[in-house]
Amino acid sequence: MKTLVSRDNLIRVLLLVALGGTLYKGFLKTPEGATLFARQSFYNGLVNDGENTAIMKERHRDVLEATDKAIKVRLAELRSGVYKPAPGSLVSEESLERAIRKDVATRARAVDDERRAQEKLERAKGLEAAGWRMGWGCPPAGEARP
Amino acid sequence: MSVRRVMRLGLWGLSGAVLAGVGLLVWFGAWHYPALGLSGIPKAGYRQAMEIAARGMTAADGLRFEDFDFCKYREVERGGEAYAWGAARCRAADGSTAFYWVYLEWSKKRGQWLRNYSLELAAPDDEIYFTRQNPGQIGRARLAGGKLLGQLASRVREALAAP
Repeated sequence: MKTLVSRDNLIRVLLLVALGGTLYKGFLKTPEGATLFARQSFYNGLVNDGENTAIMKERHRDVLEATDKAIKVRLAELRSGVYKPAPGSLVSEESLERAIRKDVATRARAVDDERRAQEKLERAKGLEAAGWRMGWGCPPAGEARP
Repeated sequence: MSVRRVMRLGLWGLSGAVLAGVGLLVWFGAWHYPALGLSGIPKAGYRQAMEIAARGMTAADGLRFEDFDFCKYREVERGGEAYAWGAARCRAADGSTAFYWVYLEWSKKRGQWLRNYSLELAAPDDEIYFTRQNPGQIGRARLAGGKLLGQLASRVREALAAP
């Protein structure tokens, strides 16, 4: 005898509900779904990511600038005789001068990275201000624009 | 007891000791040390947290903390992350100047400042002095290993010296 309400059917329904929930949660992870149903949290995540990246890149530039200063002070103290490298040390006038030059190149890159992180943050804020939505079609190649 | 039984027990003991050692290392490095002495300081008290951290880690390396060359605080507007970093100017035993990079992150989970990647800048074992040939592969590996173990030893000294 077939009944509509049985233990098996109940489990089937629960499984279907769980499947539907999983699909919906997965859909919300996509930019299409997030910009449709979870707009604020999507933009918050975008801006938060941009802010954290910008702070990180600023810090990376700062550590390189602080390193540059530390090397220059060390070089000055080596020349004036305050700092005496241990025997067999890698630190010498020559290696300190080389380190300064090396750091110039790394710092130039870090400044560039910082600028790009700022742009990323501005882009995130711009997308939010424009109420950007991920469409269903395939936009032409290039960045998404508000 | 048979040889086999002794060996089995020994292996169990050895793997247990290794596991306990790894666990201790993770506990110290990821939980205990970063938070040491920084609990109860609010986000806005970053300057105090920075000074506590800087004094502790420079003293463990035999440096005398003088002042911060610069000290920065940054927080995000969306989300709760906050960061503090700076360079501490210190005096070494021989009278030379040393700069120590101090970096703290606010932990949302633990609600307090935590020490993050911090080290002496332009230390004699820094990679910045390397050339293509000098030191060689073995020398590089030895310096990297020494730096890692030296830093661990310094952190342990700091934790033991902490009140």
